[in-house]
Amino acid sequence: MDDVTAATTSLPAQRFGAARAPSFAEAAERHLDDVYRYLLMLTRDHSLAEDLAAETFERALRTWRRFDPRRSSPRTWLCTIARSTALDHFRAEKRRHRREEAVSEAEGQFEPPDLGLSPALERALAALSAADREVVALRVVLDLDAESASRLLGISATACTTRLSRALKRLEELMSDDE
Amino acid sequence: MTSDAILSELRTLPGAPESLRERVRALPEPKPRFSWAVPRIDVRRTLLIAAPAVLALGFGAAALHGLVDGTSTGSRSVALEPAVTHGHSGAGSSAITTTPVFSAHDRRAIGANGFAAAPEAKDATTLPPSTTRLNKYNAWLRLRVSDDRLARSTTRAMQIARGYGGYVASVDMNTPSRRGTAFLVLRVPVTKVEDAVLRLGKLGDVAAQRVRIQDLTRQANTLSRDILRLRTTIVGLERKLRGKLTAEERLRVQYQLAEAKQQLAQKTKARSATVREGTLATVSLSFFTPKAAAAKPDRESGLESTLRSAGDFLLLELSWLLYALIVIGPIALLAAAAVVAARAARRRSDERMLESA
Repeated sequence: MDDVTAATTSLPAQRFGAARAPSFAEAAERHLDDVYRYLLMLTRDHSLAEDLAAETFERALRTWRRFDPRRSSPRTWLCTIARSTALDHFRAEKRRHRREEAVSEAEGQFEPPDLGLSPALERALAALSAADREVVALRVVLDLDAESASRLLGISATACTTRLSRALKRLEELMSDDE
Repeated sequence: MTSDAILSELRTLPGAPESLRERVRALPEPKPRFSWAVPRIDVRRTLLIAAPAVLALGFGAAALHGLVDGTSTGSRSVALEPAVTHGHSGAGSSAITTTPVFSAHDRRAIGANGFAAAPEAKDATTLPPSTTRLNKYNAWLRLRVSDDRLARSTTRAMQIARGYGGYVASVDMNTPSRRGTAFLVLRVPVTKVEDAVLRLGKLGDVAAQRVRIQDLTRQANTLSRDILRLRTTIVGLERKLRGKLTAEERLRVQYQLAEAKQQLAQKTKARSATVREGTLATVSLSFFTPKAAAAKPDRESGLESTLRSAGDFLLLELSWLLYALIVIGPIALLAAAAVVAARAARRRSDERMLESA
């Protein structure tokens, strides 16, 4: 944490004075878990989430100068980059799958990874779409408010709440079925 | 399992592993902002500042234009007074526009630019036409009459013209809601125009007058000489025709004779017209009532002129703005629609991706 303290003390003077802009190191240290959890929920893969989180912070470092604390919190901003990184990965994976499907048989049954949750909840999460897992991750795991989450997802706050409610209901149904 | 239990369990999701933490910590600090870097533009803040600034600039420009142009417009309004000109009327013109006889007061009223500035009421003054030369005589009179005298003065002017052996070429009298004006064009024999103008001037208070005399003697003399020459030519050709000629020569002479006769007819006609012009003078009369004058002030005050000029400029600015909106508006609208559509398409693509992932 010494590095973070040093980075914080070397912060440039606030330009507009309205919101305090943290240093990159400070923001990374504080929100690393949130970004990782978000990506873990989205991908359900520890190693992939780790890789994507690392890539997210590399991207964030490159674009840190563009971050405006008046427009969003560092956490929302980092999650937006994480989302974009994950989407790019999904697209690349989709293209790769198409290519592979053309030359080989479909892969065997995918074993759900161990997320550190109860097996029933992990199975239920696996049955949800990434879009549903995403809204659960943002609203429940990261505890983002509806406005921030909806802005991040690019939908209205009402749509975000509806999607969360639907995802939780589905999760509950899947868990009940499993029992 | 209840919802609360699910939520609680979800919140226990493990955090980032130490390996990732180390990777992120190993990232260097971002480079500091360049001092010359273009600052981020906050659209709302920019609009909040730019809109009043543009408005102030527009109004300021209009006010400045009004101040600058208003002064010059004021002097122009004097120039638009019923003109009393003097000196030669223009390049290439053979007209001799003579200076009307003004009183000392009138002379003071005439500015450096040669225009009369709202002369006080006075009797008409006139120039005598030459008795030895042929003159084209034009006179303009602007007379102020009282409301009840407009019709009577108009009738009287017509009677005066006829009394001198002339006639009324046109009359246009207009008296809507007691703000009357009347315009008359009278033709009076040049020999009597001096008296006629003097009498016409007494029908009201002369606000302005102009007299223009153009010498037609030279033009008439030239035509007379041409006619004489043509007559001599015709006599000669007729004599030739009576002599012995070959068929071809006779034909040529006949053609020359016909041409000379045609030219003679034209010149004679032109000379007659010139003489007629020099025989009958044209007197243009304009009567107006004080209320008509008040309804359309000849002169604006400095403030009025400034305000009018500023208003005109403001309207011009608005028309520019409207033009820009009409031209740029659709393009901007299309660009905005394209951006919105692209974003929506991207969002839908993301949604589909996440639904299928």
